[in-house]
Amino acid sequence: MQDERHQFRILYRDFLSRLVDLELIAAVGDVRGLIVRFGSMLAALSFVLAYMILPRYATSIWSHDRLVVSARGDEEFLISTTIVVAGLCSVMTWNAVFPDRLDGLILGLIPVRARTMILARIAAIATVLGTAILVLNSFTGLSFPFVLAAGLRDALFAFGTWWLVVAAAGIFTFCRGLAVQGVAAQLFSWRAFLRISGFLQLAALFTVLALFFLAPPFNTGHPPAFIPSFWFVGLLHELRGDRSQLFGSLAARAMIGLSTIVPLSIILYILSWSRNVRRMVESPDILPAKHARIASSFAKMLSPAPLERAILLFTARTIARSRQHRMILAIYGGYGFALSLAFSRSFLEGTATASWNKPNVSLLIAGLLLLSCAVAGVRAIFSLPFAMPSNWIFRITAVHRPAPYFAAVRKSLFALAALPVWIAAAVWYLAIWPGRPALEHMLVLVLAGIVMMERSLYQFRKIPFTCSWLPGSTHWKMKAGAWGLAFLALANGIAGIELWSMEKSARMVVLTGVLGAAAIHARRRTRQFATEPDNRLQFEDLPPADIFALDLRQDGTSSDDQAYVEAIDPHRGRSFAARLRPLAVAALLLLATGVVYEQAGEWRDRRNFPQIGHSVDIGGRSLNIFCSGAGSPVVVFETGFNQPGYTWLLVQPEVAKWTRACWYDRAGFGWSDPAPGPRTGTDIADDLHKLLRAAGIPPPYVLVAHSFGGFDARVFAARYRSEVAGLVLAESADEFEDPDQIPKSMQSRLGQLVPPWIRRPAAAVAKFLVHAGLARLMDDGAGPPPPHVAEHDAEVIHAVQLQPRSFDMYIREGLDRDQTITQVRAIRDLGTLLLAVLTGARSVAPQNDQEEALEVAAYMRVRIYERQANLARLSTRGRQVVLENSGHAIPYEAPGAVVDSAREVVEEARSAADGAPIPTK
Amino acid sequence: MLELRDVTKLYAGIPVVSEVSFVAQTGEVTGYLGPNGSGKSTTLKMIAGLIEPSEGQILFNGLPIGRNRIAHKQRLGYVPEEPHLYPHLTGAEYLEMVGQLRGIPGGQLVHKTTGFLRLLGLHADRDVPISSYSKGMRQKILLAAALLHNPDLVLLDEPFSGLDVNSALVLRGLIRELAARGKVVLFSSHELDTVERVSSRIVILHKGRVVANDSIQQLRALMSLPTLEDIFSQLAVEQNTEAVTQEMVELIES
Repeated sequence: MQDERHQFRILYRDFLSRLVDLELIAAVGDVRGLIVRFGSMLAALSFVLAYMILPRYATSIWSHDRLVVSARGDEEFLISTTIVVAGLCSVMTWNAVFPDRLDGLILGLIPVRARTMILARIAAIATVLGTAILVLNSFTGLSFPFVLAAGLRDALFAFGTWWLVVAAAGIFTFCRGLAVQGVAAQLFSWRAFLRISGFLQLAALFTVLALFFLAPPFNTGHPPAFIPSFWFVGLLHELRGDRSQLFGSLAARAMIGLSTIVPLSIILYILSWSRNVRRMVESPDILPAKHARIASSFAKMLSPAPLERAILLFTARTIARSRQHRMILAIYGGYGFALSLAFSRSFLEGTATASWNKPNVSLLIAGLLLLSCAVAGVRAIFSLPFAMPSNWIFRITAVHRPAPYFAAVRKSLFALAALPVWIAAAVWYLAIWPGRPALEHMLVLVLAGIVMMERSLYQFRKIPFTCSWLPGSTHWKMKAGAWGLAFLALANGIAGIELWSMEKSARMVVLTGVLGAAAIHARRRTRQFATEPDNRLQFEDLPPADIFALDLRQDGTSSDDQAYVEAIDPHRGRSFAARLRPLAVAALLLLATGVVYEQAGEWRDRRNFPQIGHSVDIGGRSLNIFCSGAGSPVVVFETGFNQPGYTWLLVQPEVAKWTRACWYDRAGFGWSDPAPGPRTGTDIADDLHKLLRAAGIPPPYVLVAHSFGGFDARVFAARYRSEVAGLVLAESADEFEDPDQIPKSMQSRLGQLVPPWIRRPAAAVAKFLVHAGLARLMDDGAGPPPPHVAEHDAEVIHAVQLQPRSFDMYIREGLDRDQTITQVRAIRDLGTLLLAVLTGARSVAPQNDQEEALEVAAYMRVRIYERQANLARLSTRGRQVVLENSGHAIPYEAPGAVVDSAREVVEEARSAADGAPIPTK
Repeated sequence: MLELRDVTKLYAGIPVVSEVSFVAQTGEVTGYLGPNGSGKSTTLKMIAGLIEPSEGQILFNGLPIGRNRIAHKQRLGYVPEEPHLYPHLTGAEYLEMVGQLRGIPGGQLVHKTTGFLRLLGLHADRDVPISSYSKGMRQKILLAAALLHNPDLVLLDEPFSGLDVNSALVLRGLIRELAARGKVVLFSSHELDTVERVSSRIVILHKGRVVANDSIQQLRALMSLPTLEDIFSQLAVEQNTEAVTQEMVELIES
């Protein structure tokens, strides 16, 4: 009588090796190497998790109670990670847990007891599962249990309970999958079971991934009761003596789950084994085919050429009928699906701020993710062989050059990966969104899909499933993994760019233009590769050519289709400049298009918004000025940074009711010509003086200046003192500011990002890009108009601000700002000049940051009551008016206050000069 | 005409096929014989272009087959020894795929595949996965796949393996007919009776070397042996088969 133990050992070793699909590995592949690699990945993951979690407990200043709460979250995370790995083990060994035809045909002839085979199989599965759990927890399991332990005994107890619970969670998860299979195997015939088993496998995979990504953070309030990882957290605490009701109820669920599922799965497994092992010998392992006329017709429509059709049908049938390939594809699909759910989580929870029926970042990402996973998944399984010895037929019938085969593979990837996602996405997005954004997103998906497909097929010279695969050749997989991680990290940004592009047609044109160019370039590159003279099909994956130099060839299944083909790079030998040429051409085209776009925009603005005011020649260039009213002194309005004179539209007409009032556009702004040379306060003041002279506007003047214009007005007043009767400085800039004292929330973002030493070259580049239409492209429109400003007037102001020459002057004035401040400081005081200083005092403190709010309040106090007050003290006849309800934009927010202050200064000036009486208000 | 000139194949320095030279004429059936491991299948694979010879030349119609591999494959029909077929495809799907890979136009392909399946008795099982086929059925599929495109050079490696009597008779007649229609037919088999009936010329391989290369009549006359089996036993069989048989029986009963 055969020794059962001996038989058990032999069967155990055989089943263990068959849990890894040997057909996937090339002739020189190594099962042990594959297992070691897989184990290393899990160990690395454990190390990373330990590295991320543990320092918090070692170095944190949190209270013990807070650490305890944090630990519960970490416990749940680590347990759920174990559950995911156990779930993936269940999915990966789905087909291997039950005997297959080989077992029936071979082992059925040998006197081995069924119980020996069952035990050997269970032992093999337990080994895989146990090893995965052990390796996954190799670092975390040896460190995390001790983080909150008090004393050696407590530490040992925590260690023991941790491992017990982690093992229980893994076993529960695995047995759950087994139970599902067992129920299905009992209820259905073997053939029917084969059919639905694949779907059950997919459902299990999706469930595992979805629960992991969608589970809310563990909190000790009311955690959802259906999430298994929470049960085992409860069990862990219950074992450690934490008698809270919450943990008790969760632990009870864990115990019920374990005591139900584990024995049930074992019983069902044994019953299924004995029921089906005989029947499966009579049934094919591969699902019986049905008439696939629809598939053939569809293939004929898609690929008229026989070669393309052959490869497309072969690819489609293999994916449909090979469990291994379907399973791997399902992993990619499950991953994409789960991530899409995770990104859309706020909609599922009802906490989203955006509307689901309008374009939003979450749903944009979902489409891109699913497309990426579909293309990546199908492309990945193309590399995995199926029925390797049968690939001789492709070698024998390789009666064409490689290019048509590559084209056929490309078409297969298109038909099996991208096309289904595009169709599903079109139906979905057109159903939930308005037509235009839905179509725009579809266009982006199509172009992105083309780029992904072409990139993934570059240098791929295999017919799907016909080339062996070396586990060591992870180059592509590492690259894909790196790209995948990068994509995830940038997903929000990428979708944000798309959403932003949807707001304006020109942006969408640029985005699709860039994607289209990338698609064309990728396609050209692939075609170049396909038509390389030395290119050939590849049927065997072997290590690089240096092995071949020793002529250590394996059993020859190689031929003119060389076992290892040298990497072909159509771009080899090309200089760096030649490689950059396509990018340079694309950039030039983009710039040229941008220039045309900018010119068209300016033409349209000129037509829609004709000049307000009239141009006055000041010697080689003209400045625009608008005046109305009659009387003296003339009130002249000066604006702040990058503001046209028309921003005084709420003030100037009111002032014109009782004196002559003029606003003008500084050089380059509004409808004024740009000026060469520097733009310091002196230059601006001199320009204004020339303008007033040339326009025939005699002194005296009362200057009303806003923001940075205050500097220009003060310089004017100092240079042409006899002509200036008074000054009104509305929220004027001052020279007393210490840049280091400005609170962070009030600092210019650009100033924070761009260090001073790079500002001039950066400004030059920015100017160039603005002339190429960048500002107009990024512009979001005029936005809601300020209070009391008509929409059309806001659009006029916005349109003239968008001009490149305005940007040029804005940059110039900004770069010369320090010089202007120096000029202002040199003035020292304004003597007895009539002076009114208007200061906006409305709070600008951020609501959500108390510390910052305090800093801003202190800064504002200094600004209002010291710096602005100092401005008023520049003249012996100066006064300050603090406007509590106005911010910095006084011309819009408090126009009446400006009018009143101007009137007071004008009246005082007239009284002093015996000017004509003014009408009463 | 197929010609091999001093064709050698080395694996890790060990010659599996050593300086094999022979000619298979158009219109003739050439039998290629030898014990297990003598290098027959390796030779046929080299002629099929699946593996490269280490030395020597293989010419078809005077031109080295390596000069234009695509043209060579277009003319070649090959039935391998091992019936490796894609198990997930049905018989019809497999033949359809092969025909499409060879560029046979659609209508013609349908006509041919239907005809072959019917004539080989596979029509009823045409939509059943090949994984369910018996050995003989797979062999028939291999045969049909090799002949779909009307090849000029037909290589058959153990084509009778697994075939029933009826199919074997059909195949025998087919081989003769193919040769009569101007094709080069080279086939290897262990069924010496069949080889004797069908072939005009015999090449016998032993330990990678050609030990006989002549017509059957000439060989009989040269060696004064009546049958091919006798000739084969003389040239290629090393064992004392009687002694081996006795020893095996003793081993079984031990």
